[in-house]
Amino acid sequence: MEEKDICTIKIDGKKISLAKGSTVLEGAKMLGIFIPTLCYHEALPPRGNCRLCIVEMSIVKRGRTYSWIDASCVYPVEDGLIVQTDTPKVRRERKLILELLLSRAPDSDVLNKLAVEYDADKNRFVSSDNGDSNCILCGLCVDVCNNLMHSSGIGTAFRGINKKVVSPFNITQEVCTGCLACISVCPTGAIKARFEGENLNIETWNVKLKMLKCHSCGKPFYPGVYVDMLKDKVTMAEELLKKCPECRRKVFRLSVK
Amino acid sequence: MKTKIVTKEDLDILNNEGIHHIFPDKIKLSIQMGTCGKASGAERIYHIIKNKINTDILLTSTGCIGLCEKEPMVNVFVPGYYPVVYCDLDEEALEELLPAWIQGELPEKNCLMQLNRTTFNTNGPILKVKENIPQMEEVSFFKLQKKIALQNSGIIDPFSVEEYTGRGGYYSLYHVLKDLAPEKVIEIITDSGLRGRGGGGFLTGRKWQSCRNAPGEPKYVICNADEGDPGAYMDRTVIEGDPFRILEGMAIGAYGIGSPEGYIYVRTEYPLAVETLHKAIREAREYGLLGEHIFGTDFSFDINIRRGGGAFICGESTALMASIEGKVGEPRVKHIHTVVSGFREKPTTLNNVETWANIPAIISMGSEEFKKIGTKGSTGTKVFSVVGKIMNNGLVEIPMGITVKEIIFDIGGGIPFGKKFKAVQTGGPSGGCIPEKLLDMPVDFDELKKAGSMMGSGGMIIMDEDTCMVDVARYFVSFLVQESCGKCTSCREGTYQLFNILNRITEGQGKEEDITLLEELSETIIDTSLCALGKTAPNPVLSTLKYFRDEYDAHIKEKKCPARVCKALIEYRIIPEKCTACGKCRKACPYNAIAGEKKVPHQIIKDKCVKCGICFEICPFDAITKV
Repeated sequence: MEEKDICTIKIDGKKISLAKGSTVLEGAKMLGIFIPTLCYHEALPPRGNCRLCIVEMSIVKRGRTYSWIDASCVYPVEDGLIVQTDTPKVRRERKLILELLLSRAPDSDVLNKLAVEYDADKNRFVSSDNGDSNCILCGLCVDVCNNLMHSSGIGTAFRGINKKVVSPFNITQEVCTGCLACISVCPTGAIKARFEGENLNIETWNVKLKMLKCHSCGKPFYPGVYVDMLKDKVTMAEELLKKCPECRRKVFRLSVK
Repeated sequence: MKTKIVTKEDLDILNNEGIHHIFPDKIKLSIQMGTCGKASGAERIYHIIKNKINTDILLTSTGCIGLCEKEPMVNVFVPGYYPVVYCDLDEEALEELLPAWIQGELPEKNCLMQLNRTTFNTNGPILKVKENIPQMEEVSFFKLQKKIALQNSGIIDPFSVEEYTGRGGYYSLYHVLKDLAPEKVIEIITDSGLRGRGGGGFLTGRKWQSCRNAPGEPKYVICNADEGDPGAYMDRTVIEGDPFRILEGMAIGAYGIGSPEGYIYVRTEYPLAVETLHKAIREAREYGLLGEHIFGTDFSFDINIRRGGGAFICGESTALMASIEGKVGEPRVKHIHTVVSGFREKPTTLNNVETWANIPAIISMGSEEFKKIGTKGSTGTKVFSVVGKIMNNGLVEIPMGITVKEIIFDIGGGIPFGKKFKAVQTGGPSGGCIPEKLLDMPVDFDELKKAGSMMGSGGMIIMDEDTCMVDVARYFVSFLVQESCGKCTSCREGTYQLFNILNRITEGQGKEEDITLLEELSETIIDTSLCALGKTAPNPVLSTLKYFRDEYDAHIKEKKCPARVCKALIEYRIIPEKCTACGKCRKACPYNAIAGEKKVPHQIIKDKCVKCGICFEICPFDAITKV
C-alpha cells in the first residue's frame, strides 16, 4: 500500500494508521477501545442510523481547529483526525439518544443495560407509541434480507415517527425463506418467531413456513423453502441437504472413517 | 417538424420571430396563468375573453409577474404601446374593459402599471409610454426589485421558445458552446460569486469544478425542483413562467462539467410546472436545443423529468438522488460528496431551479456585471416569496443586501389592518424567526445565518402581533416531525419529543424545566442528526427561545398566551356594555354555548365553549374579547 493511502489518526490519545476508507469505529475496534453501537454489524455496510456511536472529533486545517460530533461507524478516517470517544459531551448526548430510544423500546434489555451505564432516565420523554415491539428502526434486518439474503421479504413503510419495518403491504408474503438472518442481526430482539409443531411462525412478518422433516430421523429441522434456496447456493448433494444437521454429521463421520 | 437551430442566423431568425410574438401587429391579451393566477380565477377570465373576441385579437397565456395578491391579471398589448398590466379582474370589470381593449384603448380602470423599456432591456422595438399609467418602476412593489431569474415570468408565453429567444434566450448557450472552453464557463460562474439558491449557499462554480475534476463517467446534472417549504413557491413560478431558462442554464452547466444527461426532480403537487417542463423539453428537442449535437457542435445533452411523491426530505441531495434511482427517499451520510459520488454513484451536480435560472443571465451579462449586484459575499439577486400577514402577498426578486425592513414595508406594503409587526420566518421550517429589532439587517447568506436563521430557498412568512411564537415553533416542528424520514434516531425521535414539549406548553401543561429540556434536546439533535433536515430542525425552537423567551415564560409560568392564540390558555368573554343582544353570536355558535335573550346582554357558557372563535369573528359590535 502506498503512503498516500494510509491515514494516521489518534483515538483517545492512541495513534493508529489505517487504510484510507476505513472508519473511525474500525480504528477504535483495532485499538480495543469500546464504542457502543446498535445498528452496526460487521457483515453489513455501516448505516449511521442509531447515532449511539457518536464521538467527538477535531482536526486542524489551515491553522484552524475544527471540532464536531459525528457517528464513528460511518466517518471515514482522514490524516490528522483526533477522536475522543468518551468526553462529557459525548456521554451527555449518548444519554439523551438512549432516552429517545427507550421512549420507543422501553423493554429492550440491551437498551436498559446501556441506560444504567449512561444514567439515562427512561421516563423523561413520552412514549412514541410502537405497539409492544422493541424495534428501534436500526434497519439491519431490512438490509440483511435485501442485500445479503436477496430475499426482499421486508422493507420500511411510512416515515418519521410512524416508520415501521413490515412485510410488503403488511400482509403475508411468499418470498421469506425463514432463514432468520433478520433475527440474528436484530440488536434488540424485536422480531418474534417460534416453532409450532411442523411450522415456523415468524409473527412479526406474517410468515408461517412448513418445516422439512429430516429424511433420516424424521425430525422437522429447516423450513422447506429454505432448503430449496440452499440447493442453488451450496454444492452439496440434495440427499444430504434434506437431512438435519445432526444426521448429516453422522453421514460425514461415516465417510471419514 | 421544426428546423433545428444550428447557426447564429437560425438563432437570429428565431429571435426575430419571438420579438414579433411579444410585440405583434395586432392587439394581444396575455392572461397570467400561473398556479396562483389560476387559483384566483384566471381560467374563467380566459374563457370569458375567448368567447368575446374574434381572431383579430391574439389571446395567449403567461406566467406570474409576482404580485399574486392582485391576480387575476392580464397584460394588454396594443400596437405602438408597451404592454399594460391590468389587475384584480373579474367579470364585472371585464364588461367595461374588454370592449375598450378591443378598440385599442388602454383605460385606467384596474390598471396596475405599464411595462416599458427598462423591463424589456434592449430587446424589441421602442414603443410609446402611456401617460397617466404608472410605469413598472414607479410601483412600490417593483421599485426595489431587480429581476434576473424572474425576468421573463409574467411577460412571455412560457411555452414559446421563440418568445424566450426573443428576450435574448439561448444566445448564452450559443456563445458558450461556440466560443468558450468548459473550464472557462466554470471560471465565469466561479468568478461571478453565485451561491446556490437552494439553502446551503455553496459556491456554484466551485461545486461544478469539483464535479468536473472528479473521476467517473458519465457525470450528471440535476435540477432540484422539489420545493416543499410551507409558503414557498419561488421555483414553481420560475418553472411556470420561464421553463427554457432552466433548460438553458442546465445545458450550460452540463457543458462546463462535461455531462451528457440531466434530470429535473419536480414535485407531483406542481401539476402545471410538470406539464410546462414536459412541453418545454419537447419543444427544445424539436429545435435541437436539447439532444444530439446542440448548435451543430459535439456537445450532446438531454434532460429527463422525474416526479417526486411529496416527501420534504427528497429535497435533500442524497435523498433526492436515491429517489430518482427508484429507492426509498432517505439521505445517506455525505462524507463523500455527491459531486464525487452521487446519482448512480457517479459525479453529480445538483442545483436548485433558481440557481440554474441565473446561469444564462451570468453568461450574457458577464461575471463583472453580475458581481455589481448584491453584496460582496452574496452576489446577485434572490427570489423570496413574501407571504403571511402582509399587504402585497407575492414573489419578489431583490438584489442581495437590501434590508428585511425594505422587503416587508416598502415592497410588501407593511402589515394589514394596522397591526403591529412581530416576526418574520425565513428559510422555511428549518429557518428561524427574526424579530423586529433585527429588521435593519441586510438580506444575505451570512447575515441571516448570524441571526440564527438562514436564507433557505427563500420563503418569508410575515407574522403580526396576533401570532403566538410558541405556537409558531410548534407548527414548524410538527411539520418536521411529519417530514422526517425516520432513518436516524435524533431526528425521528428527537423532533417528536420537541413537538410534545411544545405542545404541552401551548396547552398550559408546561413545566419550568421544559425550557432546559428543549435546549438540551435541540443541542443533541443539531450535533447528532444524520442530515441537514435534522441538523436544522431545532432552529424554529432556538430562534423563538432566543428572541421571544418572554412568551414561553408567559405560557409556562402565568399560563397565559400573550397573543391569545393557544386555545387552552384563552377564554372568550362578552363585554356586557357593548353587547346589544342582537343574537348573531348565539345563532352562529355551533355548540350552543351562548345564552341570552332579547335585550339582555348575552353570556358564554364556559363548559360548552370549544373556543372556535366564530362568535368573535361574527360580532358586529366588537363585544367579544379573548382573555
